[in-house]
Amino acid sequence: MTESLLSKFDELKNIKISKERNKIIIEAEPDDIVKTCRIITNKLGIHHLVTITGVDEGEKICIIYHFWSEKNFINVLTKIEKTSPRISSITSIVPGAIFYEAEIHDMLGVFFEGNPMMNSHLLLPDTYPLDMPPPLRKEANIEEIRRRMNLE
Amino acid sequence: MKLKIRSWARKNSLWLFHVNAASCNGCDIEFVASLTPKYDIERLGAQLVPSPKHADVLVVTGTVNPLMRERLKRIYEQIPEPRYVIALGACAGGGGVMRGCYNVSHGVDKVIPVDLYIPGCPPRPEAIIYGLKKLQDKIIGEIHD
Amino acid sequence: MSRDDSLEKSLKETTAGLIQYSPEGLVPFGPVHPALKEPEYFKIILEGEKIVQVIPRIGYAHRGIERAVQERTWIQAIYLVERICGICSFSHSLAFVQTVESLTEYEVPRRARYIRLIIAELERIHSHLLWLGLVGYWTGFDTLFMWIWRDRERVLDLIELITGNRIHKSYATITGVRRDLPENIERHIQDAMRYLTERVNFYKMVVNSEATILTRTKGIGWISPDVAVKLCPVGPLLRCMGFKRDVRVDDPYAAYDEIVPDVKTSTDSDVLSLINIRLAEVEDSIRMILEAITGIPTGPIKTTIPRTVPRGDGMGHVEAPRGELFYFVRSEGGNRPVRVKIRTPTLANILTATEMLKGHTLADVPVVLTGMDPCFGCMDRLTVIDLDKGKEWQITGEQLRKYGIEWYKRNGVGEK
Repeated sequence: MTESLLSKFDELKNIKISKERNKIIIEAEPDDIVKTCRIITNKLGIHHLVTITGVDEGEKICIIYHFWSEKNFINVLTKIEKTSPRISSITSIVPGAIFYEAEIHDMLGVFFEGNPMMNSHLLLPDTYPLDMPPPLRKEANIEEIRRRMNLE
Repeated sequence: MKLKIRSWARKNSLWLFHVNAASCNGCDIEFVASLTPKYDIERLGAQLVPSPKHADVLVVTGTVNPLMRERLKRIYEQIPEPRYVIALGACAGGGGVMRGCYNVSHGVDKVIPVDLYIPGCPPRPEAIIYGLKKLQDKIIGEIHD
Repeated sequence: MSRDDSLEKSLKETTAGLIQYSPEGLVPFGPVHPALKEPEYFKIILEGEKIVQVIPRIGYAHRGIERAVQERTWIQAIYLVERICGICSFSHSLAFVQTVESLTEYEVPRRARYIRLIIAELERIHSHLLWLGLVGYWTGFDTLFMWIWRDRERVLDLIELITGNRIHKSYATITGVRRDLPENIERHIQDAMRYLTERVNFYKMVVNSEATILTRTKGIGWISPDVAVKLCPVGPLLRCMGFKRDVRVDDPYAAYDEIVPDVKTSTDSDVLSLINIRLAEVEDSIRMILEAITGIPTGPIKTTIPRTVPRGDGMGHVEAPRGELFYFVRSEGGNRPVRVKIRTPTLANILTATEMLKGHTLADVPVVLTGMDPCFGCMDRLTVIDLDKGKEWQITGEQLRKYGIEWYKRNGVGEK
């Protein structure tokens, strides 16, 4: 099954596919994300995007797109640099991704180019101090954030 | 004598206005369940009203997060005096299990003054009835102030 | 009637840089600019009497749990995670422990899987009955609300007999459940299920013949399935459009591989079909609980495991009463989770529900929004903008409820 899946992604270089129980993990470059998602929705016919996860790994931020076909999880994993956290949005292919990308923008400070919700907060309050790092980054200090928002 | 009748009338017809300030909804469904036929706080004279301007008592549930603080203060100011505040649940009492999170206040009493705390996660409808009776005792005790 | 240009201009400024939503283009509006002074949950834009756009603002129940869970151990995290939602609290703890179990090599004993199924189905019955009572409340049918919540107390009594608490049960643990079933529980369950079957038949008859409910829910909230699938909804909202998708059947967990649910779909995609699907799910849950309690195997209810969890990324999902609930857990071999990501079903359904509202009137807003089964506080306060008259005003949930009841009385309930 992995070979037939790999053949559908022939046009992209630097791609790695692995399978574990019912999870398939596709590792791709950040610039190839839109093309990879287009192959998944058009050629493989999978339309259900479960969610998008962001994890802070120290120097890089890992972004994972979770799709669910009838029987398997298909995950697309990519890593971007923390010093310039920008990536293209996939809302032109999967419109349902708009809230998930806005949540990662709020919690980790990643900018998704092409997503209309990048200039306001989805979840964080309006009084969140703008010079403090977003809450899920490793360098965010919770007591300092509470003090700056005047919460005793 | 007049004061005693006023307090007695007040305590037997407490009109409640309920505000959900960022809670998990557990305390809210136990509070609404205490209005349904099995527990029925309406026999104590209590009633749910749609607007703060008709209310005597403000019932607050949940951790008060920054988006809700201003709204809560404004709703409190709209209630005509004499007014009482009940903090329902562990989160409204002092933060509960969410103490230490970055988006919560440690209790409703950091925002508005509170008259009665009902602990529990969530408090049972029997605990809510007991709390209302304690509030009634407090009101009738106020004639000596 | 001329539009007030200044109002439209200020609306364009506050939603600056956004793209218009249309089914062909399918790129939705964003939320309003945070500089507006009055925060509200929904902004409803009217042209004449018809709604053209609904803009949601969420964040009112945001407490920062994903960050707090990184400072708790694996068992302490279960207590925190089940308090995300009071109505589907067991689904959250079950999804979390299943995801953690997929990282270890331990199997869950068969008896524990049956007990997990019983509690999960009891919670589904309690959540659907709560929801149906609320539908009665919002349409002005208070008697139905009081009757259903009285019957729901039988389910909560059963849950309390088995787990010790009514709402936050703290019952699931990693590789099993914490306590065994008490003695004579089979008789209590059979009595309660007999009572509930008779009541559910009565409610099915009421809902499909009572004019108040039929006028306000039949044909209301229609959406085209091709448009909706691109917005990725889950749960009964997806099943009412004809898609047979249920996590319990597609990816069985607990004891669902041995006791198989019967998934109901409909092709009407309106609020009345949502009511009928949820009532059918309650009947199916009653059947599954009776099957599970009569055939429950004996054996242990959990296995002892070490305090640390092996390194890896785990993904798991369950079918909560509202839809698919997804968890992602990353462990680096320690005794705390490094990252937990939670995607609740309401977040996946908001876009579809706002799309369903287009073309309806203000009186239909409470019923359609309740149809997607959101959390309680979502309808406390709304702002209505009338583009034709150039006015903007605030309305509370209670005022909207009264407005809806009056509107339908004026326009002839029962004459359709």
